Amino acid sequence: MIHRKLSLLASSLAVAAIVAAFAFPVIGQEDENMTPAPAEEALPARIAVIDVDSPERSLYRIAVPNLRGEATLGPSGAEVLRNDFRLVSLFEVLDSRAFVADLDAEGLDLVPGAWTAVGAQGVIKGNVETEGRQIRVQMRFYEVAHGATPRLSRTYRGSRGELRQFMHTFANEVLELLTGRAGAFGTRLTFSRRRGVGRKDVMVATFDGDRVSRVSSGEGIAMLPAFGRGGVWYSILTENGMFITRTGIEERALIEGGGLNMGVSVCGNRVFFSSTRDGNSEIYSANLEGEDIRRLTNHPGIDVSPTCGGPGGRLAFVSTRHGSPQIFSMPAGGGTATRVTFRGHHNQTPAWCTGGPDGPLLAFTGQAGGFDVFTLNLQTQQYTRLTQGQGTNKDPAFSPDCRMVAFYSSRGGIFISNPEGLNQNLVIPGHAETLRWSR
Amino acid sequence: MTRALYYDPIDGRPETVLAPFDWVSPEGIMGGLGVMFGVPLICSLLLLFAVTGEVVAGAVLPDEAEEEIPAILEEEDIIEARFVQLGRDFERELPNRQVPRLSTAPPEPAAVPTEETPVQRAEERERPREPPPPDAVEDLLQRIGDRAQAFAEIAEEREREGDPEGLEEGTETEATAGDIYRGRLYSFFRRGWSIPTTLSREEASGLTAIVNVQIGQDLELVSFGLRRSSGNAVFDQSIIEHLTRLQASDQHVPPPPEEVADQYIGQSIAVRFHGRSAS
Repeated sequence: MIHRKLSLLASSLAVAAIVAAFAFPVIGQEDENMTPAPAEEALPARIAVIDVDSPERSLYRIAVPNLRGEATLGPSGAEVLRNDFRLVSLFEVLDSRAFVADLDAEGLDLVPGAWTAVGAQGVIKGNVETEGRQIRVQMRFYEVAHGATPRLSRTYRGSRGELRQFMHTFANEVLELLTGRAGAFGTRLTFSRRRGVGRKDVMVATFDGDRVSRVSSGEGIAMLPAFGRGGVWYSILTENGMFITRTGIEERALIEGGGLNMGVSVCGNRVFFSSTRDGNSEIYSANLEGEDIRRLTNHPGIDVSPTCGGPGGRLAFVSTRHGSPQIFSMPAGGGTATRVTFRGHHNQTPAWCTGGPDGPLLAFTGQAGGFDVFTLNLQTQQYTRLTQGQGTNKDPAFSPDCRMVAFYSSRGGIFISNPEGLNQNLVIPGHAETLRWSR
Repeated sequence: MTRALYYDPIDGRPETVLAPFDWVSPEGIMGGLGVMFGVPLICSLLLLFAVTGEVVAGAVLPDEAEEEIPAILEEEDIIEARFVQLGRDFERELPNRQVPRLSTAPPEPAAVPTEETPVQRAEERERPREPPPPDAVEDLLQRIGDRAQAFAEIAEEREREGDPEGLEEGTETEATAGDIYRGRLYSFFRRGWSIPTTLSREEASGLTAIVNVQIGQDLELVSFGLRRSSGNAVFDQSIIEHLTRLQASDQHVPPPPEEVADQYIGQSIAVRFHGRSAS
């Protein structure tokens, strides 16, 4: 009896083992005939996996061949694009002499292989045709990684004189496509320029140095300009004091009386300026008609150079209330002034940047030996020096997208660099003071 | 028999204040009354004269200069007491863009000692060594050198536990042969890989692409293919271009140690490219 039960048990176990051997795969063996796993599944356990990170960052390589069509407008239009990409310090503009693509055969289309061979990551193609007195401009932007399909196509119509602005507009769209933030190509700079003894003019120019023109009357001393509603606002020095005016009203005084009224900054419907009307230089605001004047500071120290447009609408200004010129900030409607700069003994000419990815920045002129340009990150309190050992550098202004900083240098005129002071390019030769960048 | 004591009537009558004194006279009484009532009267009169006299003098005599009452101090007149907070003195200077270069000049050779007589040597040994007087120029140079050391681009490598073939980014202190080899492969595939500046660091940090790489028997890069896209064509393109350059330049992966050779030689490996920590 026992014999029979034991043999029955042994048989059952043997059957179970045989069934298990065929039902389950042997652990550790790899079937070479197994189809590859879909892309979204985890990697097989046996394959060696190497993780690589911390890549370098290099300039985006972009190719801009001359625009096709009209013989003179084609090259000049392409040069505007190349200059824009160089100034913004994010692109490496490839030398057209290295292109191997058959541009005539391609036309406005793209053969990716020919551009991959020269290392291009982006290619811009364009065509300019005249239609009577007008021009018609077709533009395309390709990303080589995306093949022969353009990422961006635009057509512009207008006068010949508008070609540069068409190029700036297209470059802004390309930059926004690649980075998610629009560019500042085509915006303008304003500054004052000394012409001689007793003569200063207020000038305006495109940021790349095109169309430098005088907007003040050309008589007397016009200075401290700023962009705002109604045009360019600036101050005029007379024998009786200094008043504030703007373009379009034949230099009629908008804000005057009580000594010096100067250093205007316009944000929205309010005009900010410094004035000695109450005996000491204080900060005031007024409406666009020069009325509703409100005093914002009240301190025996000298308060000048108001600059509106800071984070939360704050106003930056220069004050000697702590002994030496330092930069302070306060609400645009007045209130408690908070000191901003704590390094260096002489800081002036503040300029805000609030549209960048690194948080609000403040550019200013600091005296460290000579005058140089600095930026301060208000969140991290990190100071960055943009110039050193390069003559006198002062009066910085941020571009609206915070990618570029313009400043005057005794090296020969207005320079543009990136916010770290790299890639400095002379854009407007000649003397310049108190720069401001349009928004 | 009892006898009567002698009794003097004077003895039987005690002395009292009412007893008239012989020396008190009517004049004396009047004098005493005068003193008793006169002194207080005189004092009162003197006090009265003093008060009225001041009033009269004040009305008659010219005003004297009144003592100044200090005015309420304006806020600007107050010199606020400031006490230095316990701590360290922070740097007040604006940054310097020029980085001092670390001197790489060889150390000066030791001075050749002059010949000394035995007597001189004994005297030298006996003479106590005094510290040399401080040299202001050398001290200043030393301080400048110390600062330059701190800012020099060629930093001293600090000793830390690990392996001579480990990675700067490594975190482990002990590694197997396979771990060390994977570190060498990391360096091999990372060197020369770059992403365009149009990709922000924030955007790049979230990108990962996986590439299958086939390694030949001679450790050459036979082929490669994108296994999983990062979702960003430019990021993917940077990897493809990088591997294409490696392949075109006939680069070979480092030879693996014997313990893990079968995992790599003639095998396909997966390389995950992450955009985090871009420079």
